[in-house]
Amino acid sequence: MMEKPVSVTESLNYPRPKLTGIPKYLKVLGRSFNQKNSMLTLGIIFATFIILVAIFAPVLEPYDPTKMDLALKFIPPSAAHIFGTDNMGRDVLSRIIEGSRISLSTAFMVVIFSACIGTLAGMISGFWGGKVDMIFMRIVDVLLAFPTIIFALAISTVLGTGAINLVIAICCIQWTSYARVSRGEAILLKNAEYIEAAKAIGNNSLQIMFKYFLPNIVSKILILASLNIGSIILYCASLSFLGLGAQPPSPDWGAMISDGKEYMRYAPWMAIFPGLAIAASALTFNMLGDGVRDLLDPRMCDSVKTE
Amino acid sequence: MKLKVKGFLLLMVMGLGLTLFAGCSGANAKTADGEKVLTIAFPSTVTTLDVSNGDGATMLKEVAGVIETLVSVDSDFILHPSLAKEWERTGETTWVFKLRDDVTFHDGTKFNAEAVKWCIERSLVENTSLAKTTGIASVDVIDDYTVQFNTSVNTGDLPEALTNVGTAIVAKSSVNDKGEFVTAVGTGYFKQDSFDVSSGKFECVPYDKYWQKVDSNVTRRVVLSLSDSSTRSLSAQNGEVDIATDVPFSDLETLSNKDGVNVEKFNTARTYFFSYNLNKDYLKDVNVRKALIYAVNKKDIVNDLLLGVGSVPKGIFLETMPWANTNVDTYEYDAQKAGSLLDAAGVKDTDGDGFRDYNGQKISMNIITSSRRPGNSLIVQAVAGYFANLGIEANVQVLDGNAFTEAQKSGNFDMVLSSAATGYVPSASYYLSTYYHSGSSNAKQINYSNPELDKLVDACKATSNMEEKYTLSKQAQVLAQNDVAVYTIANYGAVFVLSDDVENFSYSAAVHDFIVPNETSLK
Amino acid sequence: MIKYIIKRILIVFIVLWMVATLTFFTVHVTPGDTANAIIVSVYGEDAVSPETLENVRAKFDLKRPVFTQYTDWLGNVVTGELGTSYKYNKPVIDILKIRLPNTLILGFSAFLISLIISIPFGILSALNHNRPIDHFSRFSTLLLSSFPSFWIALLLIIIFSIQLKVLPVSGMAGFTSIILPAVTLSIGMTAVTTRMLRSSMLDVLGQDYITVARAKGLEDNQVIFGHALRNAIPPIITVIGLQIGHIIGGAVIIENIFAWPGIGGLLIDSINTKDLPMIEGCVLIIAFGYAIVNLIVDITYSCIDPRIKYSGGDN
Repeated sequence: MMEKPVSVTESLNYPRPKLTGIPKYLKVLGRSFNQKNSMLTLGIIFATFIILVAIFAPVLEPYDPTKMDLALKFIPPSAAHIFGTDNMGRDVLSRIIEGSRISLSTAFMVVIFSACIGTLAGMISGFWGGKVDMIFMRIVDVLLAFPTIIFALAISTVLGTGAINLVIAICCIQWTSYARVSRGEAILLKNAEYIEAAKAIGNNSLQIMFKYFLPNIVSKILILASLNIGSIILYCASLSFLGLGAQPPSPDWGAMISDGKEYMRYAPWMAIFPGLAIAASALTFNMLGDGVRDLLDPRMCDSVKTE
Repeated sequence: MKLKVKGFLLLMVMGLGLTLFAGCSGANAKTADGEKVLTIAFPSTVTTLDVSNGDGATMLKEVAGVIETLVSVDSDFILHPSLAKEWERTGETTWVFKLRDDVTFHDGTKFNAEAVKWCIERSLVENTSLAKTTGIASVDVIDDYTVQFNTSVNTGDLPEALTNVGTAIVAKSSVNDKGEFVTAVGTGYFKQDSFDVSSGKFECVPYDKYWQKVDSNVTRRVVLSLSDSSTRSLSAQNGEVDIATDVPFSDLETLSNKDGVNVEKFNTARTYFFSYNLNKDYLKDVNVRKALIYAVNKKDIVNDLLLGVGSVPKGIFLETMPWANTNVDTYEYDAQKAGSLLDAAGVKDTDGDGFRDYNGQKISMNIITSSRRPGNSLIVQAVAGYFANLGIEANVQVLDGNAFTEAQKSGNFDMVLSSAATGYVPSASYYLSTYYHSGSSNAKQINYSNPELDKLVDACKATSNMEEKYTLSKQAQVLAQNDVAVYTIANYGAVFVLSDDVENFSYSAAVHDFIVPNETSLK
Repeated sequence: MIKYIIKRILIVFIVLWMVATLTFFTVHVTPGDTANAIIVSVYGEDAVSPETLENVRAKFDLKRPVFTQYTDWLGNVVTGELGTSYKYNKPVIDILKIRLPNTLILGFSAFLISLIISIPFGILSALNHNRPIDHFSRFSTLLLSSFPSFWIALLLIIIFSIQLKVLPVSGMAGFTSIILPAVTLSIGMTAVTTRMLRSSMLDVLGQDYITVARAKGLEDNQVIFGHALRNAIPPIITVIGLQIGHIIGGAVIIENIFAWPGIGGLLIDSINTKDLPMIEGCVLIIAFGYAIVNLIVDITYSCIDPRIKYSGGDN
């Protein structure tokens, strides 16, 4: 009499891309440059730049980022110190470069851990179905009742402050979005004919999951991850700003703004430049994510065609 | 596709316009209908007016002027009668206080011995730290205006303790039938008008039957709870508050030439001090502890890091305190001496890695502090830098309140930087017995004990002869300073932003944070 | 339909119970001595001593086993009691009742601002697909959603409160004081809603019925408002539901910066002072509210989205 209702989250899932597997995904990525997907191109260029900066930070830093020299405090941006110096005479540019390591690695760790845990959990849940799935869905429902920042704050009362604890706190909620996507995919794939065939030739569940499911899910997870990095960078910065992240004197961007807030009128560069660094990296990864999504989202392609 | 771009834009502009329009209304109405409203920023969030709560009582007594204590203390740390006219020690553990007979509470009832007994005994129950701070065990009514305090220990510090905000007197009508504290009914020049528990905003107006004559034109005091230092400062600059304290250090320079506000710096009876963990072998050597003090340039810390807010200590106490002994060794900055002392103590770089070792093991100091006071994080980072110059590796941990006390308890640190009020109870013995005496939790945590010092401090606390008290305290200070287990690295300072309209405001170091005198007026 | 709604509501109750349990244990397994934290927050850092610790443990009944504390607490939650705040010395629920409306006012204002801006921008952008205005709106929304809100808040304070002196720095006094926090809070949401509206409009504009409507000779405005926008709304509702979470999360930081007396600022204060009953109360009320908003969104969505219509419907 009544069709089984589809939950919002499932119905929001985009139709599966026609291409599957990493090789084809890369092929499309390659073709994108011809299609003048400027968002993606810019995203890739900037992201590469930012990641290179983080990798080669010690070489690029003009000064020691934690070395204090009170005689050099509050120097406004100048030739010697492009972004000025802070209240302890430390070079702000050097601190931002060094901070890129902390801030980016925290964000990447969150995304990688969340994606791994979420994908696995979602896949298992979707594949097995039944009770496992039901329990899983309830857990996800419960966690989704907490906005990320709220739960991270609550968790931080248990874990205390520090970069690693920050990663754990954000992961607690973030994995659920990956889990939902991968669960949805797993349910769609479960009854596909070639999976039946794979079962018939004697693959066990584990083999099916890793040989057939995973490659199909990966592209979706990658889109989600690339869309996610930008906002994770902002979450990390917000929580560091509230004092939950890396501790002084390590130059975390959010914490630098929090420190700079005290000197906002006297030495505004202390807070402005770390803010720009956060915005620039979030923007870069947002563009990258957007570009990747545009490229692989068929709905977008359709609407482009009708234009 | 054809578009009606114009229509959409119109819609959008209207929407934005509406939002902006709202921004133009509403101005600062400071003296509406002839009222002179003095607005003060209080540096933490007031959540309750209950006098058994530290913040609530401090705000009511020192900032709002709603409640009063039996004894008051002036900026020279001298005691004066307040609600009590005179007092006398009648035995080792008994004191008799004569009360004023011309004081009424804001609800019109008489202030008398019964009221004091009721209020102090309630506070002893509700405020779990009061018995420890003051030593009061019970209160007896002798006649309408005479009370006897019985103390649990032999203390000559009771009058000093009765200046503490926790002993302020409120009327019985402050509490409802269910025992909940509802209104602050005190005896002060101002009486409560309203309190908004959600924002911590408190308003009070003059009480016309106040027992003293007060010369002030203020018709209303508004106290705002602003716990963020930048917010306090910005509100003061914006004219939203007339008096703001503990604003960022850099405001001293930024705002000194600004019209409409005055920026001033005061030193308070509060210190930043180190406590060395004497459980660590290398720190058991007093010369190593001294060397680590010689390594730190206190002048630079105060002038460049704290931006001149605070001062270089000349001993343990602020030199304006009558019991302060400034004739003690303060180990002024001397990096070379620090190095040679360390060498002599066997703390040397033996393996050539650039770091000093002790018994063949590289020293890696763990310095902890709490994030609560603005200077803490700055000072520990600077100190770690000075130690690094000396070849000692030092890591810094700035922990929030609870994590900090946990870390202190766990003993997993080499050095702690803390901040404490030396005049919490303005007596010659209080601070020494709370942080240096082997019975104190600070000394226990760092395993510091000097029986001679303990004896002096105990004797100082017991006597009520002021001269003897000061002498004993000064002797104890010499011992404490020679031991350098606990060492005062800087005196705390606070930056005030005052509106140019504020008159007759004076500063007193002898209070919790700051006091707004009843006489404070507006132009 | 009714069956679906009942099922959803039942699930929400289970979720709420689990949320409460999770909240309680998250907050209560906190390492460290609660008594110590209470003394520091209530009486000041100078008052900690072994005697006072013992007194506080007795006074606040901290010696019960955790499980007893949990069952007591849960029983109270069902009846709407959330315990007594250490710091306020008042029932938690009383404080929440005072604070919650402030957060709702702030959140609703931010929500309104974001709709005022995002609806016209989203539509314009979709109608001008791949033209300069579309590129501009896409890029600016991307840009806006990349700036940390607390940083924008600081800049806005400097510009509007300190330099121009037109808006108050903080607090909640009069209408002007809501502008800065609400605008800051709305920025992230504006960006996301604009982008979502744009893409779902694009989606709808490509559908056959729009072409048919055009072919019938309907005016552009009629096509856009009569057909396209109406059909583009359902996905927006979901996004808005999800955005409520962002608003709440953002409110924590924004309220903190602007000293806005809402739930978010209260939560941070309570975490700093380790006021456990208050932390639990705040988290619980936020999670409950969020769960219920999601429920409403789900139900609304199932009512209006054609994809969740039933075969035996009355149409």
